[in-house]
Amino acid sequence: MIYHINLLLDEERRTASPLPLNALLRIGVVLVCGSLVVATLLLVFARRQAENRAALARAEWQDLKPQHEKLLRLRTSMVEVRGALRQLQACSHARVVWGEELDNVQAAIPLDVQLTELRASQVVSGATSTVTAVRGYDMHLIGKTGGEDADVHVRRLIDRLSTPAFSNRLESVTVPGGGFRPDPSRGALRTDRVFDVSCRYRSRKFE
Amino acid sequence: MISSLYSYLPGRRRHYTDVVGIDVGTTATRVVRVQNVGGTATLMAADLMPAFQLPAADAKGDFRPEPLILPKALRGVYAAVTINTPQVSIRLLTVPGTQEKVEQLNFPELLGVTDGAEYRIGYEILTAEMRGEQMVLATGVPETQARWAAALLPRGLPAPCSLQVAGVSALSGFGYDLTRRLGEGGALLVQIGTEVTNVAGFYKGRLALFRQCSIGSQVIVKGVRDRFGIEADLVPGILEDGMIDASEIVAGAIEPFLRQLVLAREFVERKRACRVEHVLLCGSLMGSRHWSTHIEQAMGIQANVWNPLAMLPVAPHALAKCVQGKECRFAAAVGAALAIMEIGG
Repeated sequence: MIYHINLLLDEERRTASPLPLNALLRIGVVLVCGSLVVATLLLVFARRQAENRAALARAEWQDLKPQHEKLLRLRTSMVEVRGALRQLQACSHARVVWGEELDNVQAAIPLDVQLTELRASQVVSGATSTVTAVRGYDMHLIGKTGGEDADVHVRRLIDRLSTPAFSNRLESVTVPGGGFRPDPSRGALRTDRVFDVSCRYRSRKFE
Repeated sequence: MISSLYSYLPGRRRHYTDVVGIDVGTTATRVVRVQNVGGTATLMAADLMPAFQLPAADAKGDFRPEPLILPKALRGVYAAVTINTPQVSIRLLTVPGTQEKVEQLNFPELLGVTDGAEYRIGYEILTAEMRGEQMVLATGVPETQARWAAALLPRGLPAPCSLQVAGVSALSGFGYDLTRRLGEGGALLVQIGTEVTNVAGFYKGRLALFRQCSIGSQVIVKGVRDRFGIEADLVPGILEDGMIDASEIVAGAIEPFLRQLVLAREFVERKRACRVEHVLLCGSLMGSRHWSTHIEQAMGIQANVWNPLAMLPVAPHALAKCVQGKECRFAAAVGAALAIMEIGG
């Protein structure tokens, strides 16, 4: 049994803690208030710095604005030029360089064959929003030859047009029906022949 | 504002594990340091410090004591100060009714402290023995003396956390020892003070009676001094040595007290229907031999001196040299410490 009648008043009690609770509370209140003041000061300071930075940026922007507008114009024109260039590249890719091609044809014609006509035509097709347009070329060679080996001469011509110098561009080389026939012109010999060779080029995409 | 914040803090219950019990006296101040070591109250140090002169009960003004500077060994964390003056009033009251009834009691009147001086009053409701009545242990201390005692310790450690009266403090220590050593039979504890002697009756470990008698060891000192013309300071030593036959003087001096003691014994035995088997003495037992002899003669029971320091495990070198032979004077100091550590019988 404990007989404890404590006559000590609350205000006479002392805490044994080196930091009593009321002191801790006071310190806490001071720290919180101090923190609030410091935080407010930091906010004000940060706001001022932000305003200064914004003013500097605005001034800098005023200086840079003409250059920026010039840059925008250049960028627009660059886009246009790039588009044109792309179109040119596509056209270039889709065309046959006829200068070189005529030289090649000239070189491929055997000596005993006389080329009387060369016709080239083109067809552009398939140009939709989703499908890239393609260009197809046809070349018709009309000529004469003669002698007992007239057909051999024409065959040689066809063989030459089938060599790798042409085959990467030409899809087919054919003699259409009735394309090898006697020469109907006046004064032609019995062995003289006229021939018609159709060359179809591989389709080329505009890309 | 801050003190009002305390009420919002949950579970602010202190655990006192290192307590200094200080019994302020007019002949010496008894100080003990008790620590809770592994759940057991252990006496770490005990020493006698200089005496203090408490202000008079009706003294006016703010009396400040000389700060009590404790040696390092006695500097615990918390301190329980206990005082005992002739003006201190202690009563064990039996109050019919409920606890609410107790709060309505006129304690100054019941304590007999209506002499004009301001008193600081406290009470504790003890467990009721019978239904429909409350046992209340009440005490009153002159406000001047209470304020004085509360300001006894300087700032720092130990921090005062309890102010008690010696007569009540000793009960906690005795209650702690009683059930362990003497069982639950009837027992009387006689606390002999300089000017006041308290008698406490226990039965089944509970307080059954408390009486204050205005006779203390000072009466014997005065009788011997007057009869033999010896200086008062020398009387205690002469009484202990047995150089003079003071038996007759002591008998004459304590005779009124013995009558009250016999009455107290009869009261306990009648009220509790038991036999008082033990009488134990503590306090300033000048001429304890004579006290024991006369009490034994009056009551027919052997009266033994109670050593409150022997009931606790004692740390090595805990007792100062000056304490040896005066252990029975530390009952209030030990009891005050145990009371706030909430270690009781």
